Amino acid sequence: MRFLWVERCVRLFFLLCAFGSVAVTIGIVASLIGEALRFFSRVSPIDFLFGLTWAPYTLPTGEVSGFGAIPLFTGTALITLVAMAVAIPCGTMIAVYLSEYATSSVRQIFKPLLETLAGIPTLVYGFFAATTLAPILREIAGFFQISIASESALNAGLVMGIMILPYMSSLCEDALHRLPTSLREGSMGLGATSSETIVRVLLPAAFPNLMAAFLLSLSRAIGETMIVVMAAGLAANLTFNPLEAVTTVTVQIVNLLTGEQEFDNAKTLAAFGLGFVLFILTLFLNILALYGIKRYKRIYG
Amino acid sequence: MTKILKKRHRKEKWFRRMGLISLALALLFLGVIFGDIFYKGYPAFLRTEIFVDSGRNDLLNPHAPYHFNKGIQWIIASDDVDMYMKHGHQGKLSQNQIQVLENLKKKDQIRLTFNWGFFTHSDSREPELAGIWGSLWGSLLTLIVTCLTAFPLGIGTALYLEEFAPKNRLTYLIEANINNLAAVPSIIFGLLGLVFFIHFMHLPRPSAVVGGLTLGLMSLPVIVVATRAALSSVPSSLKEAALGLGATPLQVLFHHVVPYALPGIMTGVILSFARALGETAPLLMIGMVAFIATPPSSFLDPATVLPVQIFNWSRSPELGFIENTSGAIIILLVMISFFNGIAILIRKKFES
Repeated sequence: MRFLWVERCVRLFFLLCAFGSVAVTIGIVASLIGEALRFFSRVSPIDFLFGLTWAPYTLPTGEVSGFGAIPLFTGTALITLVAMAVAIPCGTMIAVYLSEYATSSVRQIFKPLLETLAGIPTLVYGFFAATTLAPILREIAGFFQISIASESALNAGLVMGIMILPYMSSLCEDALHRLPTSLREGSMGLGATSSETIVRVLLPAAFPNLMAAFLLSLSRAIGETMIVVMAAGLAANLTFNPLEAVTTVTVQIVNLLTGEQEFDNAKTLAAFGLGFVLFILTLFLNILALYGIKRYKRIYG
Repeated sequence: MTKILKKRHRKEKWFRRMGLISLALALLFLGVIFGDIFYKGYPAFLRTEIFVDSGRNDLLNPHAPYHFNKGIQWIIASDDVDMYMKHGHQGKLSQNQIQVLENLKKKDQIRLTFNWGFFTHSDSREPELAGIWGSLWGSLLTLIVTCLTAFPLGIGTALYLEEFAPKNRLTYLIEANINNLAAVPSIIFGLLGLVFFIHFMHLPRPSAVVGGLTLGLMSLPVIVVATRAALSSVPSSLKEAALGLGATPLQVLFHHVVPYALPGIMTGVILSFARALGETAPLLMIGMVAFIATPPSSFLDPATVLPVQIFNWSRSPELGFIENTSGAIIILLVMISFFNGIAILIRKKFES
């Protein structure tokens, strides 16, 4: 009987743990919504989501101005676009090479190296972008007589692309690995070369899982903070030129919350408005990647 | 026919090469970033000292008179002198001062030695006196809090979901919840920490306990996902055999399932620990950016952590701090590589 009692207690403890974890999610959503609502009671959501100028300022009369977040969204989109332009082709090709061409001994050497790349804190990437890559890009641009901002979107985007590269390639590799060998054998048995098998059979077969990998990487790039805090700009520019400086949602959250100590003005609350948008966006991408794609999955084997 | 075949083979070769090039690019970048940081950072482990027999306070660090009066004769030089000795940067030094330094060089009264202060001092406004001791302490205390909260909670949650939970809608909801949480940007956890721990619970603002709890929230879903993956790889025949021999579910769990899954669980836990060690963004949200010149002596004292210290230094315009930034990054990378290495070793050992 004593055993039963212990069993029950331990089971209860685990149940409490699970509820604790759920409480965290509810806590995040509740606190974000709470603060975001306080923000939206001062700044109209329409102005916030569709306004074209970001220069948050509260007049002494209590009026607010310059809370238009469109430049932040376009800035985030621009940097993310550059990052994905690096990460999607490179990541897919690395995954293809490691999963289809490399011998197991080669894989044994390179996978830990890629994991090392994934383990580098993003702070280090940011420092590298700001102090090493930015001057190099300036030199290159100078050679071609193009003007480039020292905090250009290209700089932050390139480094961010390399940051998500190992993450993306390991997700893509999993996707390719899950395909049954019979697919490869069938294709090669009909006389296709390896590359033809990969391009015409394996990649289309793994497409839903590859899409999920892209979406997860995308959500990671959008929420990335330290690289852009260190290498992207602070001024909100509404531009799609990657050679100019842009700012992002995460940069502005950090910027709004690190200086101010007061908690009760529209400027600091704006950080929660931005955080809320970021949360919803990444949540949407994750749900799409984890559950939405399931519908299109084909079952092999 | 042979023409087409040749073309196809050429294509094949190029495709293969593209894969290799992509891989090489990633590794090249890995090499470049490590090389760059090391090249910029190794001088931070050296410092310039001047043999002082008469006071030249203009060449020494601002705290020098104190040591000088105690009879110590090799005294740390100011950062301008340090930069001149290491890289030949003239900085704010006057021609006269450079003359004096050159004379000291000839007389062997100026030397470059190992910079112990970098490890034993805390943060300072003077780059030549700044060190990482305080932030290392801060990191240690913060991560202790993280370990004590996130690890038991995360592993408990995973055990419940994998072993006990009934397969119903609620369980599915909890699962979906945690899977999504694992991909939430870390900065969002910082916002949560700010609202919940500081404004709601009124914990002291830049303290190790708030930082540790915030990082704990961030690590929690990652640990749950990793632990569940490890638990689900335990063959069910093992459980059935133990149950068939009359073991209680708890005995099955602790005598068979957990030991079998332990390497996987350990790997997940260590990797998330390494990630928490290098995390910066959520800690900026909860005000750990403040300048703190003394190591924290309790969990509630104002503290900073190594990555935040690095971030603070990197924003400083002085050359000495740029060097310190790279030096501290080297230390951080060594620590993170150490933990990642352990995780890889554990996995390798139990894979075979």
